[in-house]
Amino acid sequence: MAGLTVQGAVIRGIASSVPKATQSVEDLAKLFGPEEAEKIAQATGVRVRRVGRAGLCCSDLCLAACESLLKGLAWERGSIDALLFVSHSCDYPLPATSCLLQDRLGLPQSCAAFDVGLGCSGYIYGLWIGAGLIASGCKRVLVLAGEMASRMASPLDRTTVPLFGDAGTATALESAAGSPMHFELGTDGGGYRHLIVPAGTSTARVPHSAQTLVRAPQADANIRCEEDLVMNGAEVFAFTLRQVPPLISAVLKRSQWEREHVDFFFLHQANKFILVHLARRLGLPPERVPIVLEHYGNTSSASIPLAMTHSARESLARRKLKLVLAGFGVGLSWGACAVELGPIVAPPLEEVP
Amino acid sequence: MTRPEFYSELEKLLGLEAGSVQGEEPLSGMAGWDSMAILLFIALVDEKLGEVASPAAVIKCRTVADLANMFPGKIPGPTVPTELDDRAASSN
Repeated sequence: MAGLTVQGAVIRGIASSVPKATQSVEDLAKLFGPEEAEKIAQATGVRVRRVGRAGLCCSDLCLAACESLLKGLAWERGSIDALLFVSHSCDYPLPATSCLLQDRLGLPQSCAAFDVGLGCSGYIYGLWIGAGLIASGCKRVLVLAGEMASRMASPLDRTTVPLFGDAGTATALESAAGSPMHFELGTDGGGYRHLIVPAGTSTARVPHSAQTLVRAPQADANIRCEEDLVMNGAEVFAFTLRQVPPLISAVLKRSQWEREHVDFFFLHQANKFILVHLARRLGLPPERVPIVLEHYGNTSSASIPLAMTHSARESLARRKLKLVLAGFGVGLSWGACAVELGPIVAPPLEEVP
Repeated sequence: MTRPEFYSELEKLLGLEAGSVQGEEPLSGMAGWDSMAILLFIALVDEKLGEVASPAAVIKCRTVADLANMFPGKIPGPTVPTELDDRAASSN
């Protein structure tokens, strides 16, 4: 596991945005029946998901969050040196969505912009890269993380569609003296099949074709096509049990913090069953492991900042907090960050029609 | 953990009557043994035995005893009378 400490980068603000439209357990009941829908909701912990309308892109959600954040920070747009877009939900196969966002946000042409193709672990990687850019000389960096995860799932797949929701976030990093940011990062690409969209686009290993769009019953009794998200929940859970407890221990050791010194452990909002089990396994009190996916579902790379702004927005805006953030999933990829931050700019949640 | 304790935990997990699981029951068709039960089983093993069960190996198990046999160091096998035991018994 790669462990790193970055000095001189400070998080100044975090904002989140979600589509206004929702889907609830009642909507799922129309597809799977009320008993099955309730059973799934009990297991996942998801009661409501935010689901973007056709034509709404992840960049639109990140843009809304970022505009709100920049207003709160009162930053001159010309002062921003770099922008990262962390997502699998791109506007186009090419160019990079970050380039479009540079233009839409009115950032200067001197701004470096690039995409990072990661999901559940992506926010941690985004913070690490952003902090690293500041260590290399950038003054201000924006990390935009989000996903249109709902759109990747077949509407007839009960392992994915009840779980995933859409969200976009923006995090502002600035060069300043402050507490170091500690990171632990890792990858096991051998498990790539366990969370995958197997086909799509002309350059994919299985390119898009008429056949890849045909939804048909699968071995697990769900109906999907090759361009739909497939998740092996048991394998992802086993991976989480193998990697996350040592990941948390490693980042605590690197930061020289004891568990009881941490105000909140913001874990990737995978599902309630996993989060409750992890908290118990790690010996963490439930009140310090916020679970917010009841309101949004699993929003991939947006889930950690969304959980932060949902459950600790006022605390973040008022005082300094010691936080452990941990993302884990698609890749398979994982990362954790121990960071002391606050007070920061944390605008209210943006809802995008 | 003993085998009876392990079987008792499985009964609770699957919502079965106490004492109903003896080990040789086939998992295929067992009430409650579905994809959610496999997740709960992996969580149970993690919590009680400190082991992470391989989902692929769990799916290959045919009987309840096969599940227990995945963890020979943590769940000892059933006591099988040996030839020496038989001789000792007959000499008494």
